[in-house]
Amino acid sequence: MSDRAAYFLRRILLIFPTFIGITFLTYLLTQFVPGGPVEQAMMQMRGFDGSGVATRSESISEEQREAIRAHFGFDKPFLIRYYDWLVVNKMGMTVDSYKYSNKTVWQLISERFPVSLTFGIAGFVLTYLICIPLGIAKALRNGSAFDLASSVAVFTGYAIPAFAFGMLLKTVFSGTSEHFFDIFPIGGFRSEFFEEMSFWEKVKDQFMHMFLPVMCYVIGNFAVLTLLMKNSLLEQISQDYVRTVVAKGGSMKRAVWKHALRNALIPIATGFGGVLSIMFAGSVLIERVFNIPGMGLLSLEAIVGRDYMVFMGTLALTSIVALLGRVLSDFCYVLIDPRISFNKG
Amino acid sequence: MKIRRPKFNPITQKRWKRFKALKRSYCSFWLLIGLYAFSLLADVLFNEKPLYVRYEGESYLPLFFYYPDDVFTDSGLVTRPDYKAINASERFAEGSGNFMVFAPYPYGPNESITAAQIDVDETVDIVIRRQQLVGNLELDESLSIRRSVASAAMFGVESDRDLRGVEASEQFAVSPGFESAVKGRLANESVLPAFSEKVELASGIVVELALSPYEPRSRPPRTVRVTLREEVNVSKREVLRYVDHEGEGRIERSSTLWSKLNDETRNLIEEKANERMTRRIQPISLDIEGKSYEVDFEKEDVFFPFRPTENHWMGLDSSGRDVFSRLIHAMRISMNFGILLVAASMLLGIAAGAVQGYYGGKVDLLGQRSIEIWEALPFLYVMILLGSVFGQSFGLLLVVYALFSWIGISYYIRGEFLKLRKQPFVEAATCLGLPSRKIILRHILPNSMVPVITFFPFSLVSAIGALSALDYLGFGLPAPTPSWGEMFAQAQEFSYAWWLVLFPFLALFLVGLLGVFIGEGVRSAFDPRANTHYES
Repeated sequence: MSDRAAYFLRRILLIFPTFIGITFLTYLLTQFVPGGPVEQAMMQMRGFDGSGVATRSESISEEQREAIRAHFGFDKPFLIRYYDWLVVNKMGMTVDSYKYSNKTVWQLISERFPVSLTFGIAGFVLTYLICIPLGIAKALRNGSAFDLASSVAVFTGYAIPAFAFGMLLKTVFSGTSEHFFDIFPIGGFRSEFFEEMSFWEKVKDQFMHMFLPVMCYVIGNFAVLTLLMKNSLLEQISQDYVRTVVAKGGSMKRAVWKHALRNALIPIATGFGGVLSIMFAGSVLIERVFNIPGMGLLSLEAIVGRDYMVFMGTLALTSIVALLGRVLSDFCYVLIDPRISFNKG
Repeated sequence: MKIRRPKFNPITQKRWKRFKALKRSYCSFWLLIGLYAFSLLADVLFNEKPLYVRYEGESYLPLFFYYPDDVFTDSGLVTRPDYKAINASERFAEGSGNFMVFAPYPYGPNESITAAQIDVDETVDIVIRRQQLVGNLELDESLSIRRSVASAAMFGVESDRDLRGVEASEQFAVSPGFESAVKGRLANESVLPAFSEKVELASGIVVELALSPYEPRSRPPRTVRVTLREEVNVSKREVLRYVDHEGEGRIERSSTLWSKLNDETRNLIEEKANERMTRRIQPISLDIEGKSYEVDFEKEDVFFPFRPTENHWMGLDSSGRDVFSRLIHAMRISMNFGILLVAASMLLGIAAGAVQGYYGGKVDLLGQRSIEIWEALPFLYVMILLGSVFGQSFGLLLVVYALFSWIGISYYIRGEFLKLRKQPFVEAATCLGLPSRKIILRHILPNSMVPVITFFPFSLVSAIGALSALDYLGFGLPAPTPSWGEMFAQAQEFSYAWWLVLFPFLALFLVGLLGVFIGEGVRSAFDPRANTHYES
């Protein structure tokens, strides 16, 4: 086995202890949060709908309390509960949600995750389609009027938090305020009658719903990616090998497009791993702004509603994706640049 | 006594010079410092409490000290006095030499302003709309009218009774479709089950005739009901304006309709408009030349959140608190939070990165794995957990956030240390027998501070952004604390309130932009390549 293969095997095997560490700690934390399912169930028994605040619980007998605890599995020792969650219930996926009691965690997640994926992929493709050409153009015209003018956009992208930008877009373009425009729907994934629409109506409806949120996804990564591309290409252009190409009679065009660009793309490609987790996990903030029923909103709702199992499920899946993404990043790195060695030197 | 000016080392001086050379960054630097200083004075500049009170020969400073209500009103109450009400009271004004000095912008961040305190135009828009006439006719088999309900006006007759027995063909051209539809229904047969058409009545009014949808009955009906709807351009309307002129109202702008009204009706409308000044009322109906009109009285009522006004430049939020005042106070809190957070996370990050990088090997590997776990922990969740146990507060948020935000910096410091520990000067120091602590702090750390410094402005910007995001989600600072994110959260609910989005957005944008410009300048000032030259 080559050194590199051994390295990646080790990296992949290391995912397991890390994953167990993350979920164990979080599962431990869930045990201490007040207002969990046992307390909510007791409140309901005493006639509160969950919004009422009551801290005394004399009216519930000890046996009833124990019954509720047993129902949610809280009567077992912690380690056994964690083991049950991880192995018996397959990371809690087969358990019912506390809030949507007719749905298992996996059902909820598999409903939501395609939504996040749709937005994630659209945002990712658009970001790279804009940023890479723009970064190249900025590098080739470094210091020109075009470079300075487009920098304004870059700085703006850097200075604005994506969710605040989303709030502004929503206010200006969704017709919520009579002073502005009414072009896009106020939020959501699709229209209510999406199923009954013709093909082109569906395309249009999906586009209208996705336009503003995708803009937010783009602005979130726009500045970093454009500058990364620009600086990376600038650095490559100033390298000796580019000068050699020109010295040997090759045109500058050839030197840039055939030689420098390939190397300049290395740092960009390594971002793929991080993108993976954004695609899967969605963005809590953007999904909240536009009320998009994706993974981000699901985990936020689960946190707020103390729906542990759903929350643990989203956490487990997103951390697996994130950990894999990190290994993938390094893998891309090696794939593009075979010189890189991860062995101790 | 001689004051010695501090002398910075030549490299620092050079860097400062380079920073100064970048105008945009240099200006941003002072502008941000200025804004921060301005926001630190928010309590003096934006406050509902007077800065100074002179009352019965005595001086009071309500901004710094608490005075019970009793002091100014002899009411015996020990509650917080309402200074604005006291200032407006006769008793206060009568006493010679009594006065209050208010802040330049006399609205505090947590002061709830009542609807009555807000000046809106004392005008009522009188909107006169044509009202659609709707009536029913019941026709028998000879197509003559058996009964008429509310249709007289459309036919231009005095009352519905006058229409009894009249044949439909006398009033409008009966189409074959209409006839067969009516006959079909009378025969209990499904002929043209949904029928409607437009006809012009003998009176000149265009109406839509509609038959109710056909439904089979057990017995054929004796009459058929026809609904008549007048064709009216509903969007056409006339607006008169009732303005309050020193207690006496008058109608502005005359119109064609107004001139057709008799004095009695005019008086009624004026009376109603006057009534609308104080309370909401139902629209009234009018008949002008046989046509029916609806008169609505529209006035801007004060509901919170309320739009920007003359006194409240950025409007009011959903609890009636002044947005401008809250915006400035929120700036102070955000900046304080950002600076403290970045400082704390840098300390943690430097410590963790230095230990990992310097010792390397097992320490490093173990550290990296722990960081990986730590990084993946759901920050929001931990925040809520601790918040619900200890109660949300500035300090708690700061501590928890710092515990989660040092990781990025630790990576850089670790990298620098890994690189530098093999350098000859470190090995020399080790050979001389210096303790690790000294090597880390004295020799390696100063050489690895560049990423820390260049990161500072960017970290500050992202810390402020993150605070507003947390506040937006409702897991940030506790409730009445002024915050930009909380304004966004309100706008989520009251989506028409553009002022709750635009102004905090601009504030975030401004601070962010200044931070980025400064960061850009710092980066170029600290750029090691700036000292080297290569020909191109």
